Amino acid sequence: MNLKLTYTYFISSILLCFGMQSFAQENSTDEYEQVSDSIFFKDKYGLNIGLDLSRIGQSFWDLDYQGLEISADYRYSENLYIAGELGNETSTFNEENIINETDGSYIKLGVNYNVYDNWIGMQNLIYVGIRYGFASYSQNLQSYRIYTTDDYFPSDIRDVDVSFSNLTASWIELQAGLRVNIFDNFYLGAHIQLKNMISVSEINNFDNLYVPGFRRTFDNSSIGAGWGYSISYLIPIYSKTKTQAVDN
Amino acid sequence: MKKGLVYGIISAFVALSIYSCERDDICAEAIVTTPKLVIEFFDANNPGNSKNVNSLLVREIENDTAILFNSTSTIAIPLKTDAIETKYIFNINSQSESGGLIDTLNFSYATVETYLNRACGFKADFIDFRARKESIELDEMNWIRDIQVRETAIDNESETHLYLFY
Repeated sequence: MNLKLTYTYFISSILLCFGMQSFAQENSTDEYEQVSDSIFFKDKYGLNIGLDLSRIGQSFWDLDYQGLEISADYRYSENLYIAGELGNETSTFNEENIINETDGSYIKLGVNYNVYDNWIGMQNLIYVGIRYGFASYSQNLQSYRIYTTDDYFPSDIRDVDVSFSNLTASWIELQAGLRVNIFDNFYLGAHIQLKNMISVSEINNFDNLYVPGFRRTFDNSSIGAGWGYSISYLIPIYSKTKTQAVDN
Repeated sequence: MKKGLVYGIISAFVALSIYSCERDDICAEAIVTTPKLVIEFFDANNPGNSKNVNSLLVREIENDTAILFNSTSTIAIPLKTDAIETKYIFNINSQSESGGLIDTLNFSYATVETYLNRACGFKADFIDFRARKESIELDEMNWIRDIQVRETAIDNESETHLYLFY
């Protein structure tokens, strides 16, 4: 319910950015004049919408995982992008002593900063980014085995099927990645994530084994890690003419 | 600097994929496990002195295998975690010609499950622990004179939970 509001906020803030930028564009177009020994080219500005391929792939080959993530970023200035991801994951921790399923959605909001100087007319990125992540999820402890080092009695497996719902978590995430223009307005990207949990719901006599968007947790650490491969499409909204001097 | 960043990202990818395979999902042996019941044997005629048992066979009543203890005054035996009582047959001097002497002890309790970690799962502790000697008609076969519960909560194996006098 809260998540729906967050989505609405996310989408409307992106739309708001469009509006502002298209105003700003009006006066800037005619300010450049032809100067010899310079090259002019159009630098595209717009909204880049992407789909995470690694999650789709994992959903196929990993029986214990189902996930989908869409990402979006808007080029705010030459090197600054307002970026976010929205996703849903179901992941089952299926090990010797515990079977637990986590199911939920997440949103990440932040910025990317491009550090790569493109050759004329190219639109590739090497970027670093920061995100605030928030997840809303539930856990279902399906079964566990009473841990003992003694094998005199057969294993005591409890099919408890206990649900822990209305769990939330938030974290700060650092990203670093590449995005390459493959053809037209299509891009392929890869990035890594390093994160640190800020807050997570406490569960009595159990733990958060997996948090959607954050991925697996560690028993004695708030650090997490992840990665993504994505394909994305740039919806060009306007372009800025850029000049670059040519050496004689 | 840009080149360095590219290499940095690539090596981080490699590091991450190796790291993701190395899961902390293996239960370490140092983790406290479901405790066993620790019993110490004493001389009934001289209750201050512990007394070693010889060829003591301990078998849970529904189990086919027995556990053998020799020349020790303290033993540890598991309790059933999926039940609220465990019945053991104690057969002392089992390797003597006569087959030794037999007594049956009934242990009752409640279990409390405690989460350990993702690898080990949960352990069970025992509370309201009680021990009772089953009365058998063949009195001449019995050997246990008295039992005394020392701990009603069993949550580790470093304490002795039950004293047994014979």
